Amino acid sequence: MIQASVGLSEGEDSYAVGANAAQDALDKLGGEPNAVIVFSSVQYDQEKMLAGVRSVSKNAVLVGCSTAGEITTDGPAKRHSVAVMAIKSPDIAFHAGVGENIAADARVAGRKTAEAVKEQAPGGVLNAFIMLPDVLTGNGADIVRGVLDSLGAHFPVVGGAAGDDFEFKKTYQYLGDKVYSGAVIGLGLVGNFKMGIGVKHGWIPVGAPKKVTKSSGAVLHELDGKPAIKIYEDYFGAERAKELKTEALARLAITYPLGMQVAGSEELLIRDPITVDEKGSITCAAEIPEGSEIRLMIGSREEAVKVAQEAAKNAVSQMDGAAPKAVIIFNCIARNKLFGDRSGEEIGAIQEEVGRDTPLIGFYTYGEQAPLGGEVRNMSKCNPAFHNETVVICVLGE
Amino acid sequence: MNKKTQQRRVFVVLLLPLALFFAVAGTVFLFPHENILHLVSFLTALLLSVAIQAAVFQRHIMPNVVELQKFKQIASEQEKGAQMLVRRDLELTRANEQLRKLDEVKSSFISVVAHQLRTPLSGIKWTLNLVLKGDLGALSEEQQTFLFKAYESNDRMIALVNDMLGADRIESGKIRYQFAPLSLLPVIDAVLFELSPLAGAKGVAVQFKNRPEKIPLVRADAEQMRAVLQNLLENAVKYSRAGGTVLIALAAGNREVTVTIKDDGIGIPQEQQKSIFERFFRASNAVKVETDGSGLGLFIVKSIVEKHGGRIWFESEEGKGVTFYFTLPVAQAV
Repeated sequence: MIQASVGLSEGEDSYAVGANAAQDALDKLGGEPNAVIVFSSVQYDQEKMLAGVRSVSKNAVLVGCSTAGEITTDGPAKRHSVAVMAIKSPDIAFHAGVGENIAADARVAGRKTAEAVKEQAPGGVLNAFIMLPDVLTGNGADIVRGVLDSLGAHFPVVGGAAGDDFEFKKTYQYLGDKVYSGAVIGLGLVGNFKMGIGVKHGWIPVGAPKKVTKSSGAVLHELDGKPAIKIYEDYFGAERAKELKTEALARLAITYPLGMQVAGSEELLIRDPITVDEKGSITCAAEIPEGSEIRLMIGSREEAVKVAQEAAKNAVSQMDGAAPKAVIIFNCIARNKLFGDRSGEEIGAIQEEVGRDTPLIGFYTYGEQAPLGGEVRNMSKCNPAFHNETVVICVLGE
Repeated sequence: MNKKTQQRRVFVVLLLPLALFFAVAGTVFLFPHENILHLVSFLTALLLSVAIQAAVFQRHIMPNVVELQKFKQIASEQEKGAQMLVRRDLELTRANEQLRKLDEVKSSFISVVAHQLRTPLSGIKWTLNLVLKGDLGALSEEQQTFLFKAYESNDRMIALVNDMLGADRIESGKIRYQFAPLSLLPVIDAVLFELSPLAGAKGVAVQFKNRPEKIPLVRADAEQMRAVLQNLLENAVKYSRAGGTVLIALAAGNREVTVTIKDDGIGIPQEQQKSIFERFFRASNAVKVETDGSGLGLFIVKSIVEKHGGRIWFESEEGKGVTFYFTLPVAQAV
């Protein structure tokens, strides 16, 4: 049996907001939770907020991170909030761990997290893994690689990269009663449960493909032998593209990301441009290997809503008819920007599939992690990757 | 002479480009000019082969070359088109964002004004009430009549301000919905009861046709649902003619319950039908019948219904009335 509930709170006092959100969740749950997931705005003092949550949730396994917007059963939070999901199940054991210092070595941090979680599980066996990394200090794809180094190449991994209300300065991760930064948190699930994963973005390519002729990790230097920024100059016009260089963040480009072809996914894998330097190199939210063919992508609200619903349907269809009992959404901040004040439509479409009353928590991320195409049934084809601009829906049932 | 010719052997050199499907090869022919017949037959054979090559080129290769050029041109046009579209999209997105900001400013302005108006309006209500009750001395009948008119106008103004605040709360997401399984029957009964004085005064008959004894519970917030029904029914009565009829009906499906509210009043002009759920919208014919009204009621109603996961729509012919329909999802068995 799986029981879940979600609480949401906002206000001035960080401690009180944390405590209220947790209390809200626990009141609805009835009884002590086994695990608690916390997503918070960076507007709150992180230590105080977490202490508030902890004062209520006590000894339950606690994981969470800061976000670029919280999502609950009521839809996207309109203001800076703290959202808490409490989960209770006699059939699932939850184990949590952390890998620090992504800046030093992202892959090692990923591996350490998975190892720390595995250590606690009987026989080191996990059934599913949820990760909450920071990607401002390191390459997100490397963190995923590190996690898979430990769990095996084909393992159901989902997650979302922590945010900071679209500032791209510093994100936070929570484990137990401690606040981390530049770290990755892992939550392992062991036991008898069903999990469905939906992954889709709905962005479509425009214009001709361009070849990555020079790149290093997440930094894209040259396309077709010319500075990478040229792709935006061509499409935006030189005047507009200049903004990408002068502003601290390539905000303008976030709703026109880059897409690259990868095996195992119908859709192109998306990469978010984050910053552009003087030379016209683009730093993305995750790596783009040399030799890849990339294209400029464009999105529309209608398409985004449609694919979000399809992703939710895919997730539910993997449950063998089991009813969804808890839903976790990792949704890209770019989608929120695309929707503006209509982001509720997307969550509403997802809820049509997973059930309007099914407890739902999620957040707007700086990158999503999930198997390509959401494949979790045929394990040999379950290849977790680091996504951008994508909605990842994780549904739990029994 | 003959001897001389034989001594000086002339060589004829032919250099011919030969097109073979996709490659072009040069062929060199060298032969002695000994026999004119040899030369003629050689040349004939050669010309024939050239002609064949030319035909092959014309037939099979040229079309490919033309196709390829066409394809390249289309690709380059597509690329330019894509660039133009992206630029246009960028411009529109920008403009849209600016409009949204303006809209926010407008909304917050309305919100501030409405809040500020509420306090003095309450003060006026309280004062008028005091005077009307005769607490400050007896009033002549005329004074009483006029003061009562002032009191009523003030009340209408309070209702308008409350609508504005209601719309503001909906837009800014300040409303927390408490969804629970709910029977619509008692809610409708209560709203109808409250409506009866207004309907009676206007001579409008309000009928709950085929009121079922039992109806599936819907997933709804009781207080908000009451606001929806109140708004729609009040509108139906307000825009009915004296002696008109307002009908309310319920229909239950497997997944949703549909509520129908039908009047035979003034209706909505065809050309304005697309705007009726917008904020501050008031139909031109409605303004003539009822001078006040915030134009926010239907906006609020639609927002609430949609927040419940329901839909709302209507049918209307000007002069013949309006029928509103809205659905609510049936509460899932727990």
